[in-house]
Amino acid sequence: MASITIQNLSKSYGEHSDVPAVKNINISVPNGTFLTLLGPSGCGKTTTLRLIAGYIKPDAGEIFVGERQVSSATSVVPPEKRGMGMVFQNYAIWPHKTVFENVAFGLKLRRHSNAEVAEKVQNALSQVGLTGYDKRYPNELSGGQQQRVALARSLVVEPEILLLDEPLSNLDAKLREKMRTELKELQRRTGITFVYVTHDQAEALALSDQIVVMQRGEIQQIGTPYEVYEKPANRLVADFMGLMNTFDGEIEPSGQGKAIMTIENGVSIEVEAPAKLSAKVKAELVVRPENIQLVAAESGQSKLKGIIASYTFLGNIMEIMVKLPSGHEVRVQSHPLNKFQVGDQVDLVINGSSVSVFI
Amino acid sequence: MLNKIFTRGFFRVENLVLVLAVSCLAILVVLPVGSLLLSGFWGKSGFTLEYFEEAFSSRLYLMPLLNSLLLGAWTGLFSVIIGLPLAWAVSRTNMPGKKLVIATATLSYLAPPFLTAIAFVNLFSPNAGILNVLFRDVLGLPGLTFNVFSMAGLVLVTVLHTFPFIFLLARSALQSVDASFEEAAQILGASKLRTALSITGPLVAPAVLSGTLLAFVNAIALFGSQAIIGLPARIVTLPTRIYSLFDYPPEYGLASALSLLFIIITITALYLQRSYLARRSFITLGGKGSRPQLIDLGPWRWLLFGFGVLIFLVAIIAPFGTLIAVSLSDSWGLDFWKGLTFKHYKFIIFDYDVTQRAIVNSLYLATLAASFAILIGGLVSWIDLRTTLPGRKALDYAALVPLGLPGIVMAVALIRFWLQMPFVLYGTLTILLLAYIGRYVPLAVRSSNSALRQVDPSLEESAQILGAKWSQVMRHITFPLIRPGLFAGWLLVFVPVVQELSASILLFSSKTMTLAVAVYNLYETGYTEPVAALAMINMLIIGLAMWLAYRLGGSGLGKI
Repeated sequence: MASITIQNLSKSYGEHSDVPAVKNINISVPNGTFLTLLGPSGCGKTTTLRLIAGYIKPDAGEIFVGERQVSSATSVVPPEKRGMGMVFQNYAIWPHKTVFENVAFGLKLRRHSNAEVAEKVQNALSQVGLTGYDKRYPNELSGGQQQRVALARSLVVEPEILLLDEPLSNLDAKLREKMRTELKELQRRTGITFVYVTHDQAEALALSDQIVVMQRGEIQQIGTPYEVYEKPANRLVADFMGLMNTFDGEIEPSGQGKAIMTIENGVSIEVEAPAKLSAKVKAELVVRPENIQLVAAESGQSKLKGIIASYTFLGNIMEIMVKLPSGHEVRVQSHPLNKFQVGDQVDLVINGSSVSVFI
Repeated sequence: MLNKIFTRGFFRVENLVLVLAVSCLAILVVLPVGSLLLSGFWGKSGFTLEYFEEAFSSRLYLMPLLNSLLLGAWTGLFSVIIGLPLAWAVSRTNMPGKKLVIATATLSYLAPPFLTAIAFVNLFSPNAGILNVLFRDVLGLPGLTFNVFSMAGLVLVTVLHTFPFIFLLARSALQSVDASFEEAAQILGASKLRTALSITGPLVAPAVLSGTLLAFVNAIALFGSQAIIGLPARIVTLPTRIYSLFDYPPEYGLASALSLLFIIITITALYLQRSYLARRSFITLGGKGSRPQLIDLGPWRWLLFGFGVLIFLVAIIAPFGTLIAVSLSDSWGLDFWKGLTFKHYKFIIFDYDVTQRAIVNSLYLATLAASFAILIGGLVSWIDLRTTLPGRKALDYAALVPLGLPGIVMAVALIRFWLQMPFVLYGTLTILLLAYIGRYVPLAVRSSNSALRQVDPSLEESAQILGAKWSQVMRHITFPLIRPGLFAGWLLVFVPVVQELSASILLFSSKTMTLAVAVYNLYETGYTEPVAALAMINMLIIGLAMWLAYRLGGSGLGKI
């Protein structure tokens, strides 16, 4: 069994002991899951990963692999006894060893015979598309190739858990996308439990079974990519998961789990009632740029009116800034075929099922 | 039109600077070494190998060669034994007292080895050394006595000066190995020991080897300690043998031949060191990287701390404490504390007529030598980094050649060259000045090179595009930016010149007496206490210079 269970984990670093790096974290990673720790830099995601690897000792809480306790405030199984694999952000390919020696290192530690080592290394190298590179030194490889060596080195020892610390962040955009697909494929094929750290929300959405959104050392939300994207648990998650438009207003329950949110100009939108809503209160409505529809002003589909202030052609989409009578600017993304001119009067249509409301 | 004028003017400046730098290096290095080659191979009747044949056939010259190699090897080995564990403890563990260890290494490197040698003679000379007297006559433990006049004594004194090379290089290597290299091995199942042996070790090995070779080269070149400790022990080394060849009648041919052998040894070692240094490049590969976690040694950290304190006691407290005690005692012995007095200082400063002259000469020479060296260093690095002149790399290398010239060899070369000139330079301050500039110009080149390297050419180019002439660019942009680096380089030359003995010992005359020579001569005549007083004055001057360097924040000691 290679599930991971993290209970009430906390860690703070010496000088800043009042500001914890991670605070009271609870995560459970089922066997064979691709789990991503997502958040801006300094959110505690790398600390969490290094706690799982055993490089650092928690101040409180426990980590279990299967039924076995590997970390607690009193005892930590050292990294070399955890049987995990790890891919580092800078790859950490040993510069004084050839590609073959890098990949073979873990196998030699496990006392495989030379023939077996050679065979497994060749297999691993062909898996990552590096057949024939075994005698090269790392400085003769490109960034992408080094990254594959790092992968092969971690996979060749067949770990049950693979930890990846921003492994794609040093690659150029095109290669990053290619490797992203390969990583996902690899995880499906091997069934290894992946714990993946990134600050790139697109990467997290594309790869993960489960995403853990972290901020300021705390978990903000755990969910599938869809849940995290469409139903952000709070403002922090909403902000981090993409460009959002915010409207201030008031919300009051309308029965049957619904509520009416009133924003500027007296425009009201029916939304799902947030939990614990019993009376009229102030609230924030957030909506993604792609969930606002622009229609010609004459159509009368919405009371929310505005004027096109500017637009930017981004290739696959057109990004449009719409100025409301209140002076508030709203960002809208639409299909580039919708041609608007600066100064056009438009109506903004917002569907109550594609917004989030935070009280 | 405008463009043409500019190009021509610029080209003229470049040429002028080049001619200046090349002629400086020619006078300082190329011509003297050339004359050394000439006199090593040129006898009364033309080309000859007789000097080399004699050098290789007589025990008189083979033993010194062997002794020098032995001394270098032992010193290298013990420098590693002391320097490497301390470097590891300081950079990777939670050993207490790290600042003490770092200060010990820095001070040991800067303390003149011939003064350390004199101090240890006062402690461990077979009959009168007070620790030997204490163990043998007072405590009745003759087994604990130690005869400093031996290879062991010579290695001890030398190691105290050379272990910092390994300490400093290994420490910076250990600090720059990215933590993830080790963590990657750990997560694959490697134990701490295995990680140290197969990952960290190979990554820092080039730095350690490079430090060992530097220790070797420096150890065998030290004339002072080899004369003070080696000669009474009948251990003759290359520098002391070359020195003795200048007794009347001087044997220039043999001295030249031995000097050339000496150069071959040091240049070979330095060449190996350079090629290892080149392999160091992979240490910084990790990029941003995280610092490794400090290893908690538990109670073992006190053992390492104890080792550090021991080195501090032996390398700093023992020599300096002894010299202070000797200089203040009426007459040096076990009960020296009964008659503390300043009379030796009074004698040395006011009554001994050599002292004041020596101090003035040394300060004068050190100031001039440091200024000229940094000027040449600035020119050479400017040509190397800012022009596309052909041969600029060769110029840069030529300026580093003196690193492979032991002081005494430099002196032999200068004597050989300037004795053939129609005017008299031997016995003047000028020949000493030439020796000092020549010996230490590499330090100046190194520091001005690294200072200039940190100034992005675009800073100069942006002044140029605003209409600044070359001289204005230099005055308003380049010079202000590199001034701190140049000053550090200036001190880096000043400090060793004040304590230079190896070359001065062959070049001085009674009028051009320098501080280090005065100490050595006084020691030779047997004045124990006044020698210590003069040594303390010497240390005071060096200490002031170093304090100044430290205050001005540019102690570039790690950049050797």
